[in-house]
Amino acid sequence: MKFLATCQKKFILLGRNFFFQGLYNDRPMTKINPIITNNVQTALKAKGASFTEKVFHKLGTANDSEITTATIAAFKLCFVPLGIALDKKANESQKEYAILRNTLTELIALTSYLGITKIIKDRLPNPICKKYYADKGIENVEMKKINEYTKLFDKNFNNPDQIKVLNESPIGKYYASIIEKINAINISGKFKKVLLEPTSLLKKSRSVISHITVCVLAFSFIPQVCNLAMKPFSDLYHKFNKVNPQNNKNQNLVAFSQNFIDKKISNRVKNGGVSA
Amino acid sequence: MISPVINFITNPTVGNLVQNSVFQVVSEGVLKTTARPIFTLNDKTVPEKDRNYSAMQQFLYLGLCTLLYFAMVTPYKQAAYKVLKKVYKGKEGFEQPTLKAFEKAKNAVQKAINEAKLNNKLIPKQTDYTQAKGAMEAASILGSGIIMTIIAPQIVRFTMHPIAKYLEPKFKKLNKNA
Repeated sequence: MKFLATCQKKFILLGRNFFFQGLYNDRPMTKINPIITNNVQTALKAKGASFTEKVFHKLGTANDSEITTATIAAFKLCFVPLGIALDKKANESQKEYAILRNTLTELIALTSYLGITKIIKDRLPNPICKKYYADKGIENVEMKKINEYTKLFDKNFNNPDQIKVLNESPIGKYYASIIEKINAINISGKFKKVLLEPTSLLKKSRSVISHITVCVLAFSFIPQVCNLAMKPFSDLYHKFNKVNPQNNKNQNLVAFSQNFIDKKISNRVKNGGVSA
Repeated sequence: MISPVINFITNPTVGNLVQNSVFQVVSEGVLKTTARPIFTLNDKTVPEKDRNYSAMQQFLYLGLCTLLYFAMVTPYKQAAYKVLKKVYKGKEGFEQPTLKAFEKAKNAVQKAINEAKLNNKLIPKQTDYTQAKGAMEAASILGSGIIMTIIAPQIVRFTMHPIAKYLEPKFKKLNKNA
């Protein structure tokens, strides 16, 4: 029995580590970052700020567009279909199409804002910031290290001891060397504007890139994808609804889909694709 | 070609503007208001009547909601600041009496830090506005969700149909041209 219990425990641990990597601190470290020493990593594992403090710090330092737009998309996903359903002046088929379309649009918006924007904003800012510093005379800034430093700093922003450990690590020393170079250029008065420090530059450029991405997605990508996915989505909805015979709306839905199919067949006949 | 793009992306003024949640909501709202109805009208897989209704509903809903949001957001933010000031009483960054004074003080701190950096002076101990700014942004995001999806649609529902009657022939023309 004991053997079975230990096996069960090990199996649960294995599954938990496999599916929820990153959520548990006690999971075995599979990959150790070569930039940060083990010493620093263990020191940084200590308990940090509360959840609200972390959220406020994130929004206070870098309020990226996708957070706001995804929140609104989530709100809309819940309340807009409800609002359309309460509209008494529209007929059933109009309401149904509007609800389906709005739900699909907000679903696509939510996933693309969180997914595509994250992919782009994680990859683009590094070369851009590197080019920014190269143009100002600071060559070969390793943005990967700066990125890592920013992440670790943000994780431990409210703990001076951990920040001290971070600043004494190789990555912290590298960051300090870059700051020295930037300060030297700022003092020389070579440029009218103050050169931004790497962390704030990285955050600001990330925000701008995420906003541009969100705008492009909202303007062209989401409605286009919605147009393409509308037919399969509505077909699926009608198929699902047909299965439930007790649904009151079923008659309307059947009439709607029948009308749709009839129109499609007549169009095909007109084009000469299928003989009647 | 590349350097103007890099200059735009790394511009601190653009960075600050883009991090403002009101700007984010309004710019996205304007783009949605123009793009979504056009794409809905181009969706030829559904009957024209439904397409017209959906496109007009989206146009009016998004447009009016964005306008109402723009009108409501400043009083909402002022109220939110008062509430947050009470909740986080005594915390760093919530000393200012009004929202305007808070914004002014926050910008002054940033300016002082930049000037100190430029002149190689030691940065004097400044009030840290990061947490307060984050709290305000969180309230603003939550508020934009509530205004855009719960409050504004209630007002839009009464105004939508009279405006829709006026706009319907125009949408039909657009639809035929599409």
